[in-house]
Amino acid sequence: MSLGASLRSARTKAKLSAEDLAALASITVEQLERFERGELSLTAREVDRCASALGFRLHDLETWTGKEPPLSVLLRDSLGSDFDLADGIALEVHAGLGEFQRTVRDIAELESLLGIKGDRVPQIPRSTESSGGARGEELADRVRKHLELDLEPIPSMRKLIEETLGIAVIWVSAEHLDPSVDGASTNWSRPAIMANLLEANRYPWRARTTLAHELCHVLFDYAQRGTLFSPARRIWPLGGQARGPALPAPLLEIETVARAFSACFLAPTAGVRRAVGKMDPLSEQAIHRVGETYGVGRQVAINRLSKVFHLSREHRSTMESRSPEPYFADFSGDEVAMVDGFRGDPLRSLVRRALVAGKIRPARARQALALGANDPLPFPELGELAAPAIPRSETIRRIAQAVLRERYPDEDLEALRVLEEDGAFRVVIYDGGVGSTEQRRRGHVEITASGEVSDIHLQLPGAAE
Amino acid sequence: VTCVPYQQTVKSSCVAACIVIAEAWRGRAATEAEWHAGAGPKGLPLRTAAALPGTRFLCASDSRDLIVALGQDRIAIATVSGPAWTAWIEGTHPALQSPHGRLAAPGPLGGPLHSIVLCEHSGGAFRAIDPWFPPAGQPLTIDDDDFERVWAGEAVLFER
Repeated sequence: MSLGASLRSARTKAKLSAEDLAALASITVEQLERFERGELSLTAREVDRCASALGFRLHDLETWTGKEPPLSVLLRDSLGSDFDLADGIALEVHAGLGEFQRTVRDIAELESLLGIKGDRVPQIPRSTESSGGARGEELADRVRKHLELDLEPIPSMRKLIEETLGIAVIWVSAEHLDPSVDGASTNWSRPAIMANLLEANRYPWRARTTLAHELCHVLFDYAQRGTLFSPARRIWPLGGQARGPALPAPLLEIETVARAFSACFLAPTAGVRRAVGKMDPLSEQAIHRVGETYGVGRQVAINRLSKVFHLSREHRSTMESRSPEPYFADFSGDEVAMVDGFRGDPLRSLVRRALVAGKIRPARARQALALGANDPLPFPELGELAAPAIPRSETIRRIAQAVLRERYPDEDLEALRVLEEDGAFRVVIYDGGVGSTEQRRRGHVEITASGEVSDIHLQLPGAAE
Repeated sequence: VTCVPYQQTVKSSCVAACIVIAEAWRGRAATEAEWHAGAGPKGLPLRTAAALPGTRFLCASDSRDLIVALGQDRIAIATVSGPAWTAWIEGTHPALQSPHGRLAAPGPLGGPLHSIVLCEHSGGAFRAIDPWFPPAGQPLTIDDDDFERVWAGEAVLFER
């Protein structure tokens, strides 16, 4: 099947209209439809954007047999509904989720090549008689029990998720993902969580909450396979006035449960009671005690106190209206020093391992890290293995060749040799066609170190010599 | 219809031989002699092939656009660096011998240039026909890494 036919087939399976996919890929509908029919060739960058919108890598389209589920199928599987993805999610969100999905595919593929069995996600019964927040609390208690956490604080959510449960965590920021999304998770092709590190001044509390929230999705929201995203609270406050487009009802219920889960998992009810002891639960001291003990932010601490001690709405407002004072507790295990985006760790480390182990070649490494053949791999310590596939001299030769094609389209000129002189380049030009056994030097093109053509000296055939 | 190898009869006629292969793939008759006539030892520039209907000239900094085009049921005549291509052939297919002798002294990317036909890309590798060599054992399989190290950055894409 051609790439265009695969794309059309995958798009149809994803129930994405040509208009939606064209918008996601920043091309016109006509371009997309002609590409699908094999009448037009798009650039690799354009086809890559189409693939990304489906959660695929470009080479997934090359080998697509109809079995791999596109992103929107995974979302529908999780929600058990047939909502129209294009109506519910902004283009930026969709693009971010697509990138997340294909990063997870890369991680799973590299782990398989390296023989790593990462997934240690436990099967914990998901059925409860409760719903909403009560269900979230019940599930959180089950997980705490399963992990034998009792009422103890969780020193590092990151360690728990990555090392104990083998769930891959991908850190992104507003630079990589629309801020209307807090995070996302999937169990396809392996369990993974994406955490959008917003509001840097709230680290690590925000990251801990997001990780716990996504953990709930991974543990309880995928019957077989699925992907979910978590709308940002400031845009979709549950029970409040949403500032974003209406979310589908199943997602609202799932989110209510996951928000309760994250708070109760980090700060369990009995633990909050024990921590507060005889303090006034309305006091600033109680807020600090809960936050410092369990590593949660002020708002989560207030929410937990309100819930555990059945505080009135007025009491809660009073607590929220007080000027907050910073509290200190060591949850540095959940601080994220650097956010490299989708193609940072854990993917980058896996790429390096696979490369060193000889499981992949540099071209596959570049593909996974979204680099071109002219780019070095980000592992300078690997020497030649990390060097660009196309050396600088060849890039310079192609620049000269392109200039010749543009300025002398009717002349048979070939840029064949590159000489480096004091950081600049001289590309020697010969006449004759490809395969010529009789070539004559016709001059040279001077190119600066930055790749700009600075001078052309040519003696064209037919001109006086 | 797949690409059927064809061996060039003259040392400098690789482009004409590639046109024969590409046109046969499209179900059109072409002969090396008619295309190479007049070119002599200087060979044909690649743009000669780009003048045919249903073709497109591609000039790129890496092979990604070429891979996408091949995935769209196109084939391509691509220029390769003679020294780099010879180094790859001698390293991977030492038994391949041509009545024309050695294409070039093995070396890094750079001239003189040679042309080959790319019939397909799948599984991280290209399937290529080199008219310098006899048809037996062709197409050759060259992976993405090795191809980047031999391709000279230009190609003419043929659609059916």
